[in-house]
Amino acid sequence: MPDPVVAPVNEGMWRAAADGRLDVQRCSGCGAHRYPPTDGCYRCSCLEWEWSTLPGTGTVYTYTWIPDTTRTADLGREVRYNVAIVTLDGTEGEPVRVLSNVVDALELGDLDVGQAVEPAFIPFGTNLALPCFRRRL
Amino acid sequence: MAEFQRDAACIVGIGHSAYGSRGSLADLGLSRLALDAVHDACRDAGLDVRDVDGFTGYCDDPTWPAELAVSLGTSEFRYSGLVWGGRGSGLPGAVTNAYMAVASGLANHVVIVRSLIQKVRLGQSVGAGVQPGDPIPLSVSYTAPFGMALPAAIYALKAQRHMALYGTTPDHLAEITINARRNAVNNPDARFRTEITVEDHHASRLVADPLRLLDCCMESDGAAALIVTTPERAADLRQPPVYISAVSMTGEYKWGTASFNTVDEDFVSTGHRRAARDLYDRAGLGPGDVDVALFYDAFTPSVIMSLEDWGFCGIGEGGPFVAEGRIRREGSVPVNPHGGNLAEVYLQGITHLLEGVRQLRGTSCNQVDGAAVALYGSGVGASPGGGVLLRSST
Repeated sequence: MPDPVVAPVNEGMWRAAADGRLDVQRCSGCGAHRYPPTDGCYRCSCLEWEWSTLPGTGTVYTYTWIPDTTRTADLGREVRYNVAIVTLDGTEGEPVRVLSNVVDALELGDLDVGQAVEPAFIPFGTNLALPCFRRRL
Repeated sequence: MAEFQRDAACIVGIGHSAYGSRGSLADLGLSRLALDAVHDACRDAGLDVRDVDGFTGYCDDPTWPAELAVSLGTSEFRYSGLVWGGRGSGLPGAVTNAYMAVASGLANHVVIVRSLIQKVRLGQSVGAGVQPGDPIPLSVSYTAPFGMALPAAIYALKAQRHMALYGTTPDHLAEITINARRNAVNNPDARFRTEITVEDHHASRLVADPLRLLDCCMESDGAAALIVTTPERAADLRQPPVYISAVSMTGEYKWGTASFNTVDEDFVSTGHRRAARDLYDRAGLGPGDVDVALFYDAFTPSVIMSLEDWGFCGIGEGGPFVAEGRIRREGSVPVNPHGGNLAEVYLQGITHLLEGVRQLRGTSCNQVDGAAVALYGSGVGASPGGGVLLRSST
């Protein structure tokens, strides 16, 4: 998978993930959390924001399984990976959802809408990581 | 807002190039395909191609309007407009541009054109026009690194939640393609003219669970065009005009590039409930007036959610609605009688508008008796999308 573009609007999040924290933007004007990173606040249009650390736990909102063609060819059996949208706990404003992976869910049937998850961080680059999740069993 | 001036423009000509499989028409080039479609549309209208004086397109179409104008012999080039944003959902925006240009007196005959050669495989995109292996832009940095690599996955995520909330099933999804293929049997221009069964659908390979190959449209090459003018000018042309009653290019609240942070009630939808409200208000029509629905069907969940968004059934009821045969050409709301993106050709919706015109002229291969009003609704993926309501002049 391609690495994300590191930019002022998202670098703090990748760095926090490398330190084991899930940070998202929080509006300096009204306090609403938001994701993915944007320049302005959907609620009050304020352009000032800061990073805010969330618990990192959440709930699977929806998901899909996609065939992993490269690994399927290597292993000689069909391998799939999931893409899941997770609603984060502890946010202010409209629900905040992160598109990510539930890294310990490996087979069809390992995921359902409503599954509780906790953070898991997958490193990339230097001192950067992607915010991912694992199931809370 | 000021009151919308409805029925101020009409479609007087439709045309298309040859259709082919992905890349098969690449040697001709985008401009030649577009010119074939424009010539065909002008022949249909009874209009000299040199009298086209405006051009409008969508989906960041790289076809160059000045090049078209030179090859058409356009002496008066009065209008050019490409929709800003919207990608494949942007067709209603292109209709809006044509509508505004002729209704306001900026141009006389505006052509809406889409020319597509899938050397860049849109179905493999990791973001708007971004191919696997390309450096990714910032806008897809919150999706592509997680393997969110296919347009099909956008619909899969919505379909999975639709199933969890409302009990929608793979059989319901299959019915969308079964209907499209069944209609295409009678369409000599369609590329996929063999019928399929529920079993064929379920046996096709997984693309993005719950979507299988037979939930996905084809990849194809071709071009199509429509000529838009005023009702007054239409009187001098060959075809009975089809009125554009209203247009909306209403975007979805909190939907950037596949951002998935729309409000909860909008998530399991095509994002067009506001577009539907605007469109029906402007036309003075409602879903009960619609005789034929043309829905963007790049993937099957689009049709189920469109039926809900545009008011043909309650939210969450799209699955049982299609299971009852309601979208078949004999049903209460015939959907895509030409076969749509799933079976006729994939030119990002423009051929749906051609079918709307044929239905309202009474010349479709699967004619709906007495069709007087046709609706076009865009799909999911980019904003703004929107809709178009067409009305017959008879």
